[in-house]
Amino acid sequence: MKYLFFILTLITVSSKAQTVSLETAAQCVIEPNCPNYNYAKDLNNSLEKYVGTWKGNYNGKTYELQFQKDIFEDVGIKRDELIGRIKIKDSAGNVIYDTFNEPDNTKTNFIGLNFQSDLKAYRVYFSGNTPKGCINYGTVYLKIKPETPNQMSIFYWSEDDIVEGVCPASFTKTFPEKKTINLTKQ
Amino acid sequence: MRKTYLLWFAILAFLLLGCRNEDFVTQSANTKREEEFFREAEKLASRFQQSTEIIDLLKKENERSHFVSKMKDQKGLPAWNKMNSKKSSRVAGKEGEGFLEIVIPLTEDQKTLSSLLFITEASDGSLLINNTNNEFLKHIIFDRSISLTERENYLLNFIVADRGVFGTSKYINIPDDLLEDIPVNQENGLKSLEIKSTTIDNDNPQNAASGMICIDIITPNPGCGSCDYPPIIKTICFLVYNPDTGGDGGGSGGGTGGGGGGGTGGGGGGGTPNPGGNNPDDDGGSNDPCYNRAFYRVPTSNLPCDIQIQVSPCLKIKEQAKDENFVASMQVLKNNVGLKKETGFFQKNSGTFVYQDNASATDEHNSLSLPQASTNTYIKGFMHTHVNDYKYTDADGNEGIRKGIKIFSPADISYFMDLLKTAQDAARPLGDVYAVMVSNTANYQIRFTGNQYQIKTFTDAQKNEFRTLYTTLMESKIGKQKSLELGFLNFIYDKMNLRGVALYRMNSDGTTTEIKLNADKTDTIESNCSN
Repeated sequence: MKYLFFILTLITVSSKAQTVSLETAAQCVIEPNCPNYNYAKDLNNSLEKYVGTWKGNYNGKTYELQFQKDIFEDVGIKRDELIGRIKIKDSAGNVIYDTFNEPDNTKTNFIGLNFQSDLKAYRVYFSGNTPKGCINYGTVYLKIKPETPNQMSIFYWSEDDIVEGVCPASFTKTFPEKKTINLTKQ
Repeated sequence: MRKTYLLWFAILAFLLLGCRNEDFVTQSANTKREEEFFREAEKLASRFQQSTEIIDLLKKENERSHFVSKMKDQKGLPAWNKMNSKKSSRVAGKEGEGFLEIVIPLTEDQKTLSSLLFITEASDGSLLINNTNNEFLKHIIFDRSISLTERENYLLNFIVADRGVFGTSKYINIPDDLLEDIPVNQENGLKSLEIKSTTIDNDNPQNAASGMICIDIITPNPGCGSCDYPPIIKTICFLVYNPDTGGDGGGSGGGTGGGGGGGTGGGGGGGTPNPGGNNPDDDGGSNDPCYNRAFYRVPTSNLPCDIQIQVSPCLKIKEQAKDENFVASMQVLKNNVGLKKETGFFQKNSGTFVYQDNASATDEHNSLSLPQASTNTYIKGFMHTHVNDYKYTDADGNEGIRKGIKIFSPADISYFMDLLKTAQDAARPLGDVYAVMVSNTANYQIRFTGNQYQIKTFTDAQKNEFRTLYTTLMESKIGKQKSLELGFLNFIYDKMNLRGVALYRMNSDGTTTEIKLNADKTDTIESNCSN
C-alpha cells in the first residue's frame, strides 16, 4: 500500500520543487527517482498520534517523554517534525535528566527526523551529555501499533561515529542501548 | 601613460570598495614610524604642486587617525615617486571633479612590493584607507573557501601593480586551481606565469571604463619537456570591481570582489574574504625574515627566503596514492564497509599506519576510538569507514533501519581540526594533515588550505549542537550524494564557520575531484585534479 501511495505521488509531481508527504520523503532515502521536494509535510496527519506525554519504566528508571509538532526549516527545505522533551528519574525518584523546562524547541536535543523507510517507526534524533571518548547520541525509534494507540514502544540506537580518546568506564548512556521501553500515554 | 593611469585606478576601485576600511582610530601612534613614512615625501612635494596637496591631505589624516601606525605593513616605506592619484567621477568613464583616489606602493627593499596603500575620498569628504600586504594576499589566494573569481582578482590586481612599479614580469607560487589556462607545474603543484604586456582593453571603451585589464602571459609549453618548442602566449583579461559597471561585490564597502574573468571564469564575488577568524594582519611574523615577502616573485640572491607555500592538496593526494601502505589501508577499509561498526587507521608523522577498530565494543562503548590529538601529537591523518546501511531487530521484533550519512560527520571534522591544531603547535605543515572517509557510495578526503588563524577547536557543547543540527539538516539529503556534498560544504561554512577546508572525492578510477561551493552556495562546482 505504501508503495502504491509513493507511486501515485511520483505521478502527480513535476520536476519543480514542491510539497510531499512525510511518507513520500521517507522513501526518498532508498528511492533514486524521488521527487525533488522543498517541504515534507504531514499531509496524512501521521504525527498526531505521538503528540502528548508518555510515561514508562525500564530497569528501575522512569522515562517521561513529551512530544509536540513543529516545523523544521532551513535554507530551501521545510519538514514537519516532532519536538521531544525528556524527563528521567532514577529508582529513588531523583531527576537525572530533564529538558521539560527547555523553552526553545531547537535546543531540546530531541528532534524528529522522519519515519523510517518501511514507515513502521518514527525516528527522533537524541543528543545527550557526551563525555570525551563516549557516544551518547543516536536515534530513538518510536512505534505505535494502530490497535493500541495509547501504547508506544521506543528503543535507542547509538550513532556510528568516531570519538577522541577513551570513554570513562563509569559512563552510562541516557537511554539504554537497543533496549525496548514501553510507554503509556498520559 | 593613460593606460597606466586607468590601470591603477581600476585596481584602486576594486580594492577600496572591496575591502573594509580599517579601524585606524583606536590604536596608538608610532611617532618614529610616522615621521619615517613621510620623510621622503617632503622631497617629492617640493617638486610637484599636486603631490604637495596630496601629502598635506595624508598628513592631516594621519594627525587625526594615525593610520600610518596602524597599517598591516609596519616596515615598508612609500615609493612616493610611484604614487598615483586622480580625481575621479563615479560615472563610468568620466574623469574630472569628484572623489580623490590615491594608490601608494610600499617597499622595504626598493625591489619588491611589501604592500599597497589605497586611499579614496568618501562622499562626505572622509578618507577610506586600506593597506593590503603580501601576507594578506597569500591568505586570500590560498583559501579555497573564497570564490575563485575573487582570489584570481586579488592575485592579478596585485601582480599587475607590482609590475607597474618594478617592471617585474615573472610570477610564481600561484595556486593550482587559479588561472585555468595555465598548466600546473608537476614538481610543486603550483603555477607560474610571465607577463609579456599589460594593457587596458582600449578597443572596447566600455571595458576600459570598467577596468577590464588584459595581460599577455607566457607559459611553458606542456607538450614537451626540454625540447625547443616555443612557449605559449595567452591573453588573460579580467574585470576589476567597479561600482558603476557591475560586479556584485556586496555594496557599501562590505564586500569584495565581484566582476568576471574574461579568460579565467566569470561572475561571482560578493562576501568579504575572511582569511582568519582572528587577525592575520598583525605583525606576528616580525621576527621572521621571510614574513610578508613577495611570495609571488622569483627569489633572487637578495631575497634568500624560503617562503612557505602550501603544496597543492591535489599534489599531496597524488603522492599519497603512490604510498603502498596507504593503498593497502584503503583496501582494508573498502573491505570493511559491510561491517556493523566503523573501522579506521591513523597515520603517524613517521608514515606508519595503525589500524583501529572497536573490537572490544560493548553496548555502552561501541564507537571507533582514535587517540586524543592533544596528547598524542604523532598523528598526521586518519581514515575510516562509514558503514553500509543495516537493520537491527530486538527481541520483541522492533526493527530499526540505519541509513548512514555517507560523508564526513561533525565529529570527523572536529578531530581533523584537533590534528591541525597539533600540527600548528608543532610547526608541522598544515597541508600534510588529512582525513579520509570510505563508504560504499563514495570515498572522500579533506585537506586544509587555510592559515593558522582559521584552525578552530570546539567545545563539547558546540559539538553537541553541531551534531543535532547536522543530522536534521542532512536528513533530506540521505541517499543523494551530490546533495550530501552540498549540504556538508554549506554546513562547515555556515554552521561551523570553518574556512580553508577543501573537499575531495577520491574516484574509483584513481582520479581525484575537488568539490567546492559555487558563489551563492546553492550548488557545487567540481574540478578534477590533473594527473
